[in-house]
Amino acid sequence: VGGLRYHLRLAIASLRRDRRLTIAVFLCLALGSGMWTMIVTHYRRSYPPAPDLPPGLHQVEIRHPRALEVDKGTVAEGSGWHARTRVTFPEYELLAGSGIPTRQTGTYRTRLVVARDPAAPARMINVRFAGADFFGLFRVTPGAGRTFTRDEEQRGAAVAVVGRCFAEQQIGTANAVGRTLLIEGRPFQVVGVLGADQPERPEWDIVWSARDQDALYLPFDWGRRLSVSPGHAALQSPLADDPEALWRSDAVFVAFWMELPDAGRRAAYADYLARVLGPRGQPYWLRSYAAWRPLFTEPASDIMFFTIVVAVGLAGAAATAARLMLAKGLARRPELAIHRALGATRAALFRMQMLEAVLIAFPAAVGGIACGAALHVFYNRFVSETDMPVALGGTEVLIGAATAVAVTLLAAIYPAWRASRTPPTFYLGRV
Amino acid sequence: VIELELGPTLRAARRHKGAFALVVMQLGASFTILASLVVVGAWIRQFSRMSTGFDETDLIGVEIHGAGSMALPASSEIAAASRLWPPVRAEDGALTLHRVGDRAVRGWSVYADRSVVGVLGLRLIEGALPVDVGPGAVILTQSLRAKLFPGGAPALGATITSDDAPPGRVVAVVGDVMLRDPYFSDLHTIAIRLSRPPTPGVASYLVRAHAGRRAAAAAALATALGPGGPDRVVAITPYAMVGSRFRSAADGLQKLFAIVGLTVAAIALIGALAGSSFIVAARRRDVGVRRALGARRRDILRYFLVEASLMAALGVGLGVTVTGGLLWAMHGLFYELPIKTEHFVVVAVVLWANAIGAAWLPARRAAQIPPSMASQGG
Repeated sequence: VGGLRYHLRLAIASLRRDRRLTIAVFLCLALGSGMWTMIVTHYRRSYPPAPDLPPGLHQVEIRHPRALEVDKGTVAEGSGWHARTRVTFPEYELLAGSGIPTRQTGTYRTRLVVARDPAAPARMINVRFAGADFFGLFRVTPGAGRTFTRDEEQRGAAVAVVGRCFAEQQIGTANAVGRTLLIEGRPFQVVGVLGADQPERPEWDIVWSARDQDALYLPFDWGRRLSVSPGHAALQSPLADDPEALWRSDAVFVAFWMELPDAGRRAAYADYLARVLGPRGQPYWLRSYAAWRPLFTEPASDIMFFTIVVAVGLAGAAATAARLMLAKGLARRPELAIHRALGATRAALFRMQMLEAVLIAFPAAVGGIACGAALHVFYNRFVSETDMPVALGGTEVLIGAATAVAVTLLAAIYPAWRASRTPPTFYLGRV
Repeated sequence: VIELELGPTLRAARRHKGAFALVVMQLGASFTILASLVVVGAWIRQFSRMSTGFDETDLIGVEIHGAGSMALPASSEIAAASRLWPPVRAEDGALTLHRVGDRAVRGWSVYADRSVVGVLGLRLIEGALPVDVGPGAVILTQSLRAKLFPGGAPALGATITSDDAPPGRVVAVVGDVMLRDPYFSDLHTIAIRLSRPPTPGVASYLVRAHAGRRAAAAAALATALGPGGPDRVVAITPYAMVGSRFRSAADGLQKLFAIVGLTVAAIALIGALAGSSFIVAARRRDVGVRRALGARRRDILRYFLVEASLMAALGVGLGVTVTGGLLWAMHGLFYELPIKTEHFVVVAVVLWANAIGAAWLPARRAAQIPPSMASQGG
């Protein structure tokens, strides 16, 4: 401990003596790792790991050739998300009509006229229609109140669950339970407020990834009752001119999920699908969530590009830091030669240089996180296109800090090695 | 001259190869990040400012959501108004397939009444728009016409079917205009259907105010339509604001790029300054020897500036290679990415100036070193 304390004092003294160089190294590494921390947050948001959902969650893909062709016109060209992850309303009724006792939900989203009370002006709000099982299947949990029940759904109760962001920004309170909202002019009672923001990729309906979050959740059947026009509906043939046309059409817009937790129910449902879909000659696939997700991973995006660019930038910052440390080490060769002449081994000199790097690495990590946090604030204020703020989470802080420390130590290896090779006779040439 | 100047530089580079490699790496990385930001930033700017192809100056969009719809007021400020229905803003994926015979082409449907041609100032290229044009009439943009009727095949009078609308008859072809949406392709291929869609959902109008009277017309519309209510949303916005959310995000992104770019340039400058100071300080004896052998001060100055230029050139070469490879690998992500030589040249000049600027002061100090330094250690 005494030795370590001595070496620490020595390292601190050395850092203080070349204060400008120390600050320059710190700045390079803090700025580089700050940018890295920010891009890591974005990358993890755009390419999130699979969430922890019930293992029995399943989806049925039914082939929709016409909708699939139109899908090629989106930026995620060829992804087929619109056509492959959703079904038509008549198909939804078939898929949901198996009678197998389990949890299941259809869901789609639209924009509706919503007022927070009868005296307030209305706004256009993103509303998701979903079954009562939706919340349990996707572990979307209320922070206040509760979600609506199957009984309320069957009774056609006018109840709503409110997103956290909508509650705070539009209603003005995180606890809006009991409030009445006017939706398309009809009163709905708020029974619950969600506890967290929606993820950027909503697994329940991935065509809405990277868009504003669902602000309101209403029981599934209310969509038909309100004659809504679902968003992102992929029409495969013209709709007839009557209010019920959509619900019997081949327009693709409902994402359907069900839980098949055991082999018996999976087999029974597969039999059911063979009976009802088989004769139609339309290809279909029943997939578990684990099998489904790799087929619908996020396509390559600009985030990937920027991640690579920032990684190159981080390497540049490391090279700069290494160059500065090299300059510092070589400028101190006479002093190091004296250490060597007094008996210090090369390994000891190497360790001494690395200890100095460690002393810079931790403040650089803190500085990097602070810089990353500042960039997040800037991003949320000036760049973000959605109402989902980018937040610096614990994992990102850890990754950012670990990167800063690792890069500092890597950058220090060559300068430390060069400094440790200073011959004991070096100083003789100076006197 | 080249031999005189490059020889010592190359020998020094061999002797200090680690330090030189770090400088080149750092410059290469700086070039990569700066050039990427400049190229992609220019692309974002171009995309966010893309023109629709019609004069938006006096255009106003009016949307009425909710119970019922309302007729627009007659106003002395309003030149013309056209009823139209989404997706005039190309939102929410109203892309569809248009078909003629066996040919299917991906494109957009816009529903409007016949006055849309006058309100948008569309340029008629083929056909005409008679007053009694009936329902089912379709106007094609030039791009869609070229795709549906390749080789100049006659389009007028042809029947066009779509996945989202009943069969229609082509009555006219207009010059290309573009929907403004960054998330979709085929934004020029548009069929304007002169009919009402089955599920309009929203009453939407385009209003052209008399020249220079947009604000007055918007005020008149707001007064006449009222402020909306608990079951009705009335939105009156200058058409130029359509897509403004994307534009403001694009502006923000460019600011962020500027911050990151300045940060990188600052890191590069810090590194170059400190590095140059070190290189000069570590070679005081060499300089003394050269001075003793007859080198003048300006020769010493040139020696260090040539060295800095050489390192900058190598760094830029490395950066160009990495950036080119990166942009080539990622070109699919950025639709019509404009990779211009001048972008690369600007970044190269900035980095070169950075390296030369950073080398200048230490080089000047080195030029002051007396020949007697040759006899000292160092």
